Amino acid sequence: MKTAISEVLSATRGRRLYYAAPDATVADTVREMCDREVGSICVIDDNRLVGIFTERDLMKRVVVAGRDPADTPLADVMTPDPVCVTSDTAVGSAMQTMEDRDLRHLPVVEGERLVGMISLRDLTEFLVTKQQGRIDDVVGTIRTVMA
Amino acid sequence: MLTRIEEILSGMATTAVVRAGRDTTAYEAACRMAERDVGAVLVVDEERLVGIFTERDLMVRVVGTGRDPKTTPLAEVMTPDPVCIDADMNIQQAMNEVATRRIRHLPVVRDGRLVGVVSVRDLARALIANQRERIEAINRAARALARHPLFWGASPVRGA
Repeated sequence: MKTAISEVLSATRGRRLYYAAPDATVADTVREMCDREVGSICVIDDNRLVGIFTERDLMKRVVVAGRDPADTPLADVMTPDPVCVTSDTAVGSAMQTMEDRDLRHLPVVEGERLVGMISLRDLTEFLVTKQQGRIDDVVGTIRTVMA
Repeated sequence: MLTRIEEILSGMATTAVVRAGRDTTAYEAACRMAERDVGAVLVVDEERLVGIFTERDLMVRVVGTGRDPKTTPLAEVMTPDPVCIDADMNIQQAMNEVATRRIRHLPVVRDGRLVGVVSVRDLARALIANQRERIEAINRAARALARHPLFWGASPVRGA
């Protein structure tokens, strides 16, 4: 049986989803990200997910590119049309996507509407816990049989 | 048998370690990280590890506080005396370190000397592969066991 992203999302339930508008400045967005201790933020325009802005984008497209954070709108430096998953995407395939594309965050969408965000850390914790549960189950069964 | 950190390191390109000095500017460090596509530089002083500077530090301590990256030396914004792990440690111990401290990079030392850096991504990859191998081994053993008549008499099998 394949586990879906919805299960990972329910494990992270209660966590707030942060987002910003495309015309927000990098400086304001960074302050928000620092306060919330998050490494990425979704960019939403008119209820539609239009991009994602991460620490990596800040480093490459703002700092290294020599742009002024106070004078740069997210629209200029975000990653537009980010790779997304849906609630019914298989966990294994989401993990593969992160590996292949070297991503740390995946927005979860329903149509164009953002419903969640999962990080590599969330997926790893979920997979490791689940696999460990499976191992403990089988080992437990075997112990019972052998006893 | 859990994979040791040493084994992960030997499978990685040595270019994964990006070094800088205390006087290197945050801007220069960002350029080196961006060029190698990594999220951390190790700050060394005469071969001795004195700090780590990550893209999170760049965001929180440089851009977030309005400092100018081009005039800010790493000494002022790095995390001094970072948590390190020994090359002999296994991936589970290393994973516990990154999980409880909520950090993403661990410098690796052997006999007090810096030999590399592993990221949470490297650890996750190795840990999941480790578990898969273990599950496969257990499955093979379980199939063999299930052929034994006593198995069915002794316990119901869940999900069989």
